[in-house]
Amino acid sequence: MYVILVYDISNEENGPKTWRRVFKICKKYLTHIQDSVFEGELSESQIFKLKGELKKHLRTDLDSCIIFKSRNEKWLDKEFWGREDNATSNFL
Amino acid sequence: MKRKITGMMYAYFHLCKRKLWYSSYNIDMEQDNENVLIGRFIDEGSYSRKDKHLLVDGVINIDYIDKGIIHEIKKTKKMDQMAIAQAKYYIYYLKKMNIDVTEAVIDYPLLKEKQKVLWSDADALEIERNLLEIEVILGREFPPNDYQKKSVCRKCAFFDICYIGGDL
Amino acid sequence: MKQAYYIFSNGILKRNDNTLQLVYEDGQKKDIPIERVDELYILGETSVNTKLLDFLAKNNICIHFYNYYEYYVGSFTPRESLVSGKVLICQVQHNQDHGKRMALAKAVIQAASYNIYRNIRYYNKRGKDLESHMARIENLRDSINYCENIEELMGVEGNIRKIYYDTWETIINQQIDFRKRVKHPPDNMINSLISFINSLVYTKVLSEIYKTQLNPTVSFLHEPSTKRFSLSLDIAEVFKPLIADRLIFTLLNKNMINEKSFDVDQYYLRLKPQALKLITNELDQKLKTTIKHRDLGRDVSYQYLIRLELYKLIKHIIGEKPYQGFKIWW
Repeated sequence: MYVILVYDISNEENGPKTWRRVFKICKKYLTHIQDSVFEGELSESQIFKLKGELKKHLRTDLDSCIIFKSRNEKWLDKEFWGREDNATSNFL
Repeated sequence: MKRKITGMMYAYFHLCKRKLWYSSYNIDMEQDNENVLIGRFIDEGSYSRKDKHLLVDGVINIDYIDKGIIHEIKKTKKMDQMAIAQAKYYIYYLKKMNIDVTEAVIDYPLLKEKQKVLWSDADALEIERNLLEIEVILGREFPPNDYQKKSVCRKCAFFDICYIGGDL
Repeated sequence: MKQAYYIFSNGILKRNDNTLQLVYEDGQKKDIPIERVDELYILGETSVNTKLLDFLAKNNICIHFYNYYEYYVGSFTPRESLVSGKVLICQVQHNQDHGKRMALAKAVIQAASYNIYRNIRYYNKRGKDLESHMARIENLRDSINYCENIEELMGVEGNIRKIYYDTWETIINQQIDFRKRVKHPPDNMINSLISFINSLVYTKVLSEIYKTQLNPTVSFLHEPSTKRFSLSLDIAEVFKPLIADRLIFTLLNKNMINEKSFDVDQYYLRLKPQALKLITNELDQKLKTTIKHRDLGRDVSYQYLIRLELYKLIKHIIGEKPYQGFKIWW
């Protein structure tokens, strides 16, 4: 599965702490491409695991986290309208 | 030296004799099987009670015991015959240790269902017959040519090693 | 799907916040998602520490190191996680018993030489006259079965390889000085290309062996564990024609690599960083290529074919099914 994950963490009730935790979890699984946007290829079990980890920290009444899934990266047209980068490359 | 027949081995005996042989010799295939991994996370995450997973003798691994009743947690009912056999083996094993348990329950938390498993003395005979057969299988040099239906095998973590090499 | 990560940049690779982080020389930082890492290649001047190795070991990740001359230095493989006494005993038995060892060594050479043959046939069909080479290789392949010991077998293998390398001047369209293959130091372009790409195939096989119960030091064709993980050398033989050689032909015939891709550094030829990136990228793509597998009835990647080869080997040594080496079937 090719996924794009976006989140919006509320500043209320110790929000920055939640934000840091969520950020740290996401970067174990996905590539950080923009402020609160991550992207990458994950298997079902990895998505399952990521969801499990995030659920412990996301506050259902305050925070939002959305994941867009596509069967394969090739079904996803990606265009850069500003600065172009190859953040998701495995060649570093 | 006689091998100890673990609860997992006993369950695999009811599922697939090839899987029983391979896994008994530590030829495990489950480390990167998607379904197995998901199952493992469910297991780690869903019940946080401390007393779960009662490992007896290093042989049987009981999910938990409550009021003298063995509980076994399963995700789906697809392999309920195996689950029943497994639960009965737990009862049998505990009885051998002079712990008198006569009942088990299989919990399907996702289906919100329970299944009662009652012990009868005839079960002991059946189990002992199976144990003998398991020993015969494990005594073999290589896994028995005893394949399940291919459609069933497809979902198994051992599919690749079982089917590679063709001639089937 | 997990994947290999290749690091060309100079800097520090470290554990940070329970994932990997690459710190470039200019201080910039790049996080690498640990859950996606299958193995790591260090091709730049990168510092690592024990904290990192410990972390990689916990995540079952192999890390392979290359030096400045793009020469493979070695790998760090975590403590074996999949161990089967049964498999180890059978593996050793198949090394110790002459007949058993020969059977496996022959199967490896049979498969490897068939794949070599297929490469030549491919170019023969495309207007390069290689008929006589094909006939000679076929003859040599027939003699594999009559070999009585490893030396004889290695002799036949050497002869096949010699004919094979003779065809390269015809297969490769670029005008390149291509003499006998000398291992180190690589004395010409193709030699350094072969060395580099073969070492990548070797490490890929090693990483796959690590994911099975097989022991990488107990081999059948090569002598066990002379410096390298010799089982990896055995299995790499089978896959080099498909993965390494075909890649070399493509790189040179499409002029993706030519004399300008190299720097001459004293006595050594060294691939320029851009060329190095290109080659590893092409190899990475090649390993991700999928093919419908007849036994399994589903698409598998070239890289996974290596793993399947190891499963076949396990089935052979425990006595379940005779090993037939991978032969290009399409």
